[in-house]
Amino acid sequence: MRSLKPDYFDAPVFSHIYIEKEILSHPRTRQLLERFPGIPRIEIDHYKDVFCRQKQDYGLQQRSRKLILAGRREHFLYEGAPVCQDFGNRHFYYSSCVMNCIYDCEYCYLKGMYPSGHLVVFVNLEDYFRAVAQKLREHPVYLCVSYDSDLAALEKLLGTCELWTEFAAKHPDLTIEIRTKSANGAMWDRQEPLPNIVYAFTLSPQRIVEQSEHRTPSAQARVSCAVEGMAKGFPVRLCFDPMLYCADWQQEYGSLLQQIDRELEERQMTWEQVRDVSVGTFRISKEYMRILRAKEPDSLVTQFPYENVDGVYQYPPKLKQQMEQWMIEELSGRISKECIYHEYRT
Amino acid sequence: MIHIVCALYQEAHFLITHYQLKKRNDFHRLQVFENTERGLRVLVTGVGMLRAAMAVSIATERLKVAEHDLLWNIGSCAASFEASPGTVFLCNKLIEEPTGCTFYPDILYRHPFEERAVVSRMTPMTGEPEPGLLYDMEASGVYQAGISDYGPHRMLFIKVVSDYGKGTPDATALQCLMDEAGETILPFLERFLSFHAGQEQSATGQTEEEWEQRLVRDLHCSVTMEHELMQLLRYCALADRNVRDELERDYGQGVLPCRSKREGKQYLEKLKAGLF
Ligand code: SF4
Repeated sequence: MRSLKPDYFDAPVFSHIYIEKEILSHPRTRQLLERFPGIPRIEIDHYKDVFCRQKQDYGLQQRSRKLILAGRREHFLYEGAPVCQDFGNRHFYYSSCVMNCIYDCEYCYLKGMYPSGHLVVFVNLEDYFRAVAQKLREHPVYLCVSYDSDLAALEKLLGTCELWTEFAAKHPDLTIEIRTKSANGAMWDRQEPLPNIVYAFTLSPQRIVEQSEHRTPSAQARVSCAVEGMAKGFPVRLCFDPMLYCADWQQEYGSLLQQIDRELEERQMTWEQVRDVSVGTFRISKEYMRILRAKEPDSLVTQFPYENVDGVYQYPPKLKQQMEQWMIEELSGRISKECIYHEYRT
Repeated sequence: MIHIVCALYQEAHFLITHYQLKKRNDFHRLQVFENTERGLRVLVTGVGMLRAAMAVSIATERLKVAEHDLLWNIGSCAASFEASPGTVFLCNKLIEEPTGCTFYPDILYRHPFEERAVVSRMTPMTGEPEPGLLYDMEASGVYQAGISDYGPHRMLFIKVVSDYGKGTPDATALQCLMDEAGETILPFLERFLSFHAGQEQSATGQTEEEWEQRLVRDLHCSVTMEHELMQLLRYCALADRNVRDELERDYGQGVLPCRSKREGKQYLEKLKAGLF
C-alpha cells in the first residue's frame, strides 16, 4: 500500500491517541488530551502493546501518526553510544522522553531502532528530573535530551524544552543539548538563554533536505532560526553531522556555508558567536542499516554502498576523509579550531 | 488481493452478489468466493474465533499472501450501548474475552465509520455486558491468525450492529441488515479495490537480473562481494549512474570476465573508487 494516494491516509497530526490506563489522570496527559478534542482515544495497558506489535509498517505509520501517551518506569538515562559525538564531555548521557519524530529523514536511525513509527510521549518528566538530579550528586552531567526525537519540533505541543530549561536553571552542573532540525523561532521568546542549554541545529544543504529530510524545514529556515537564537544570546551549535554524499557535495555544502555567512552578516554577527560546530559524515550500525535499507529501498542515502568498519557502516575511507577534511578546512577559516568538534578533534 | 473473512454466508451475501464472486470448489473446511479480476476473495468460515482463525490459516497457507494483500473481517455484532441496528463500526481494539489478550489493528486510512472496541467471545453476548462495547465471536481469531502475514496495518475489522444481546436476528433478517450496511461499506471497499487494480508491481526486469548474475559470475564473487556489488548496482540505478555501458566496454576490451577471484576483487574496488 506504499503508493496509495496520500489522501487515503488518516493524515491530521495525530489520528488516534492511545493512553496507558495508569497515566490517564496525570496532569500532563489531561493537558495534552485537551489539545486534541474529538480524536479517538484508546485505553491501553502498556505502550508496548501498541508500539511493539510485530510486523508494523513504519513508513505507512508515518503517514498516519498515532500519539501514544505513556509513563516511563525505568531507564530514564542512557550512557552515550560510541558513534555519538560527546563534545569532550566525560559523563555523556542521553534520555528519551519522546520516542520517534514528526520529521521523516530517510536515514534516521530511529527507523532501524524502533518497531513502530508512532510517537510515544512519556508524561512523567518529573521522574526523569529525579534521575538526573541523582546522577548530578555523583558528577557533572552532559545530557542530550533530543536524541530519539526532535523535541524542539514538538515544543508547541509538548513544551518539553521549556521544562528542561527550568530544570537546568537550577542545576549548573548539568549541560543539556537540544538537537533539532526545526525552525521554530517562537521558542526563543518562550525561554531565557542559559549557558548550560545548547541548541544544536543539524544543517544540510537544501538539495539534501529535499531529497532525504522529508517534512523538515528548509535549510534557509533552519539557518535563520539558529542565527536568530544566537542573536538573542542562546548558545547555538551548528552540526554538519551527518554530512551526506551527493555528486556535487562540495558545491552543495559550500552554498550552505555561504547561506550561514550571509545570515550572520545580515544581523551584523560573526562566526565567533557560534558556540561550536560539529563535523561528521553519515554512519550507522550494521544492524540498523539492514532494517533501514529494507524500510527505505528507494533512498539514495540508505542504498549507498557503505563500507562496514567494525560493525559500523560508513563512507569509503577516502571519501569520508575528503568530505570531513574539506568541511573542517572551510570551517577553520571561519571559526577557531577549538570550537570544531570532529570524531578526532582538530 | 483483499481477503474478507465473514462467519456466515448471510454476512457475505452483499459482497458475493455485488462483485459476482465465484465459489471455488477446492476448499472443504470453508467456503471461498472470489473475483480475481477485481482482486477480492471472501472466506466464509463458520461461527467462532477458532473457525475464523483456522480458515485464515488454511487460506493463507494455500493461497499465499502477496506483499500488499489486505485481510478484513466483516460481520455482525451485538452492542452494549445505544446504536441503531445496521450501524457500521470500525474496531480499533480487539479484546479476546477467554484469554484477556488485547490486540490493536492499525487504523491508517480515512474511513466514514465510528470507531469502537470489540470483545470477542466464545458464545453470543448475553446478560449484563460492559457498556460501550461491541461483542462478536471472530475478530480476535482473525487478528491472531493474520498478524504474522499481514501485520496490524493490513487488517481491518468492520462490525455491523445486529442485536443487543437479547436474541439474534434470523438468517433472512441478518442478510437484509448486512445488505443494507453494504451500502456504507462498499464505497469504502471500492477505494481499496481500485487502488489494487492500478497497482504496479515494480520488479527488476528479467534481462537486468540475468545481466547482474553474469557479472557476479564474471567477477568470481564471494557472498560478501556479491552483496557489495549488488548494493553498488542498486545505488547506481537510483542515482541514474549508468555503469552498464562502462562494464560492457570492459567486456568488449577483454578486461571482463576476470580470471580469478583476486582479479574480481580488484575490479570491484576500482569500480567503487571510480564512482565517488
Ligand atoms: S530530525 Fe532527527 S530524529 Fe527526526 S527524523 Fe530526522 S534524523 Fe530522525
